[in-house]
Amino acid sequence: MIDSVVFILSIAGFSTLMLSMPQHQRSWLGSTISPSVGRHMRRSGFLLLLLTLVVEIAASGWGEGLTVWFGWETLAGLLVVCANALHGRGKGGARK
Amino acid sequence: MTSEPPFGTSDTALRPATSGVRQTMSVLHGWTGLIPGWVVFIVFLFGTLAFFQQEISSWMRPEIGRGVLTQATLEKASHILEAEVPARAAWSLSLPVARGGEPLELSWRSGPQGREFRETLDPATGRPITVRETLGGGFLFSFHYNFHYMPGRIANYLVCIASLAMLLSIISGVITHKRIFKDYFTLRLDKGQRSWLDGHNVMAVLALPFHLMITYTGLVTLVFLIMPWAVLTGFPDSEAFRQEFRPRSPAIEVRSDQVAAAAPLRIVSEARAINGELPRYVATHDEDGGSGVIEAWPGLDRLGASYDTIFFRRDGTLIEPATAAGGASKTMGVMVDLHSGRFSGYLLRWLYFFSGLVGTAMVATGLILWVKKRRVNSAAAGRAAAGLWLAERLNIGVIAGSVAGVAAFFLANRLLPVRLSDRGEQEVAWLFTTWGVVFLWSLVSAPKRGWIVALAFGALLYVLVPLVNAVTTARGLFPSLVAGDWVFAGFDLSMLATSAVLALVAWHLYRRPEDDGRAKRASKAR
Repeated sequence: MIDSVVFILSIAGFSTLMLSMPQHQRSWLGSTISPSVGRHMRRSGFLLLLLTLVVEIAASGWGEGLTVWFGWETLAGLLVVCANALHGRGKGGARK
Repeated sequence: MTSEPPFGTSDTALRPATSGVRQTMSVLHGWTGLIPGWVVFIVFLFGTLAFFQQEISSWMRPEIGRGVLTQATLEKASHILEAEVPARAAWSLSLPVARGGEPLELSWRSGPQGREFRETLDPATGRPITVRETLGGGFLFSFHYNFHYMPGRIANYLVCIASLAMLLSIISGVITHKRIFKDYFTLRLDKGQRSWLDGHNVMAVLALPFHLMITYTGLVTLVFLIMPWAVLTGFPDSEAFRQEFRPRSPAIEVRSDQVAAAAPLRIVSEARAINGELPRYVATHDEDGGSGVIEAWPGLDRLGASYDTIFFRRDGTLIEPATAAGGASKTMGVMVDLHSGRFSGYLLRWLYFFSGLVGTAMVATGLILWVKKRRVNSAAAGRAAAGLWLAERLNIGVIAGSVAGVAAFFLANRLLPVRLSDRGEQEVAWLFTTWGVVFLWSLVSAPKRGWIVALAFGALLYVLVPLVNAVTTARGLFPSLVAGDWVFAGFDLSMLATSAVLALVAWHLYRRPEDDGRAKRASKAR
């Protein structure tokens, strides 16, 4: 249960981080958004990931919690990367 | 060796890096990655499989029923030993770990010649069973650092050197990758060499904590081999150190031949009370009634659990250890636990496995990239290099060959006659024969065709595993799914998934009209 929360929040965190970057904004949103909003998104993304770390450690303790957390982050990150790759695939030259 | 870096960074993939340090690191990354890379690939592949070694063992020993070791079975085993073993004769009790994969095994010596008797019990039901001879998942685990057909010590040294190179390669790779944050989420598909580089980078960066942890803690497991000097300074020889570090016999001399023997069950309970988990192996070796010491090996299924053997007198009283494990020893124990992941439940185990797959794929893409990069250069220069030819073949032979070999290992487990002598070793021979066939094939075939056929062959072998299992046992995929036997169902489904991935990659290669077309065009445009 707590692990699915960590996993979903991690995907949200990585997605937010990705969308805070101009080259991915162009691909997903069609245009770039203002740098200050981008900065806020970046902070929010990091905060979300930090939150998942806190939740996982609270649930499983330091030793096992950290180990599990790194595993979830890798899985969540790769999912976001794959989604990004498949999204960019059809666009050809539209992406940088 | 040319001064050109074997790999560029993401945005300099097709031209030399400009920064001096980065270029040096790129060269270092290329060579520390390539030469030991094939060894590292094997270590990663088999090490990743070893995260599921008990589940693989369960599948490879289908005679053992489902369910964990019960107290009733333990009691039965203890009664057998009490009834059958003459006073002061040697006996042993091998307990399965909680995840299964092994039966409960008893052995003892009896009669004037000290003949050895064995009994194998099903852990859950306690019924005597006959289990096919196999090395099981334990072989995959052992192969990842001991290799096979060579002395384990030499294999350990090779693995040490490869791991050190891997560590160097990880660090130099991070320095070489100058857009590590900017390209964190970037994976451009259908772009030839750039796609391979993106994939390599993404797998390296996203699982970087795992790669560093597993490589470093792997070196820790072999630390006394690569750094023996501290031990040799403080102790006359390694055996003396071993006795101090993790004693094989009690520190004090014990004479307890006159006392009544305790029931094996009692020793198991005492050892469980001390370590918080069942011991792995309980035995006494003295056949002549000497000291009468009983030893209990630790189970090692708990994070930070003790690695020390516990010793008892014949009457079951504990022999206190001379020294408690110190900080360094405990730290090493935790690092080894972190490496082997034996403490983890199913969720964490799958995460370990997944990270291991990412690491394996990272090494494979690195090896393939090295060749792709060189092939573009050698085509541009209009010459073919012998090193490139060899690297290309080794890639097919090692990557596709070892993967196919593992499927053959599983097939052999089902297809070889159950009563065959030396059966365990025969299964291993199937693995290496298949691997060797793929290797030979890679030597005689053109690279692209070599890859396609080798991968398709692997896909075929993997899809055969669940089919052969369904025919040769009553525990095929559908019965397992119906019964909710997730170890067997999960194994078969993993075989099908592996087959699908191999077939997809082979199909993808087959469909592409010209290998490296884009990369070549990009190279000309430069």
